[in-house]
Amino acid sequence: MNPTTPCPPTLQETIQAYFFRPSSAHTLALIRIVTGSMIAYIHLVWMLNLESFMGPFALINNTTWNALHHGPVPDYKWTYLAHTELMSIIWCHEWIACISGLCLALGLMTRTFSILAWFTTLMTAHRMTGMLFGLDQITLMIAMYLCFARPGSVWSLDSWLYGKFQNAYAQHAWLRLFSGVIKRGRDAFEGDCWSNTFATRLIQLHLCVIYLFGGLGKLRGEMWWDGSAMWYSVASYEYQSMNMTWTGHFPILSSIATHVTLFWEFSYCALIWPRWTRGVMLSMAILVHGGIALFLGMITFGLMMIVANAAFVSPTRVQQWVGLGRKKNE
Amino acid sequence: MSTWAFDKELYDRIQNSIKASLKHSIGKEIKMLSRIERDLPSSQQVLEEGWALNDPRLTIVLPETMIETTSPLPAEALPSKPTEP
Repeated sequence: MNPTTPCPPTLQETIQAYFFRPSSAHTLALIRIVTGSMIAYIHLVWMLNLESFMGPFALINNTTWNALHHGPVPDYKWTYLAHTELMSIIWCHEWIACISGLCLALGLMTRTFSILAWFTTLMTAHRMTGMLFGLDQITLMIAMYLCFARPGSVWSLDSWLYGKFQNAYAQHAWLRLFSGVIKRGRDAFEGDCWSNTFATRLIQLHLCVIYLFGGLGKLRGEMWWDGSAMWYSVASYEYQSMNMTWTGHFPILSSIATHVTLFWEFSYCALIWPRWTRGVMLSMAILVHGGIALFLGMITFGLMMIVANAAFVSPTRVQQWVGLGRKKNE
Repeated sequence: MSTWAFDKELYDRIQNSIKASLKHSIGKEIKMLSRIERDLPSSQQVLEEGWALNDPRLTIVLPETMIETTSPLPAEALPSKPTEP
């Protein structure tokens, strides 16, 4: 054996590199901005008719909620919002959640507000039995993984403040704790960090599981086999944002779109990893979710799914696209 | 049967909760809530027969009781007689 030939990495080294190789936060920062804004938006929408969702006159009142979740078959769902009927507490909770989402988007005290935004949204989501949608779930999923990382290290108020008041950050431990600065020194913020890779991998893996089970679920439906699913999507009155029933004149096109969507969703978990197929899978994701956003009235859900897919775009590429970090490096 | 009774009790609780909420928000007592489902039209119904996607013919009111099998089942649905050995 040639002594100069490098040894192949062991399984442990591969796993370590996969989950813990330090990376920059540009992709997560982009995801943070959209997710934080979406959390604020979701809570604002809930607040438009808060009395119908929580409190003594909720559509599902506390007694019913407890019977649904803590009956003979408990599902371990818990939220303190199901144990209070005081609207003042509920309003406070919603405003805290909304402001936390905004602070997360702005990257202000990111570590603190990412945890707060996730937790308060989780509490609200648990209380909203029967009134939750994919948007809420995908936003919560991403918000949870952002708590593990340092998405506020770039494109954030934290990073701007750190540049202005480095001495203050060096002196006050609470400032470092609340904003998520672990180390002192120049690279404390913008340096690569293993937690960014870890959180990105968790989002990627979670997305693969979502698509795999979404695809398996579709395989159980007859309309996904006979190619009519696309027609029934555009023929659903509740999801109409644009009249697309003209596609019914082209059943072959509609059938091809059905089968391509099914193949993409089912094979996503495998074909997203090789570099030579990743671009195709991400382009398909943009097409499918963009189509859902534009034609089926689910703009916010479509947007969040596209943003979740951004987890597969490298931080360097995001940095180049956005162009902000590039100038700095030059 | 016990599962059905349990589910029915939960269902009634949900109905009562919704009725109380609606009474508060619209100020009127709701005596009965109907569950409505919209069926999906075929391309033939929409493109050839001109049905709108919200055509009333597509609206189904879901039953509130257990489906009763008072009408006789078709012969092919009945279990076949055991054959002689």
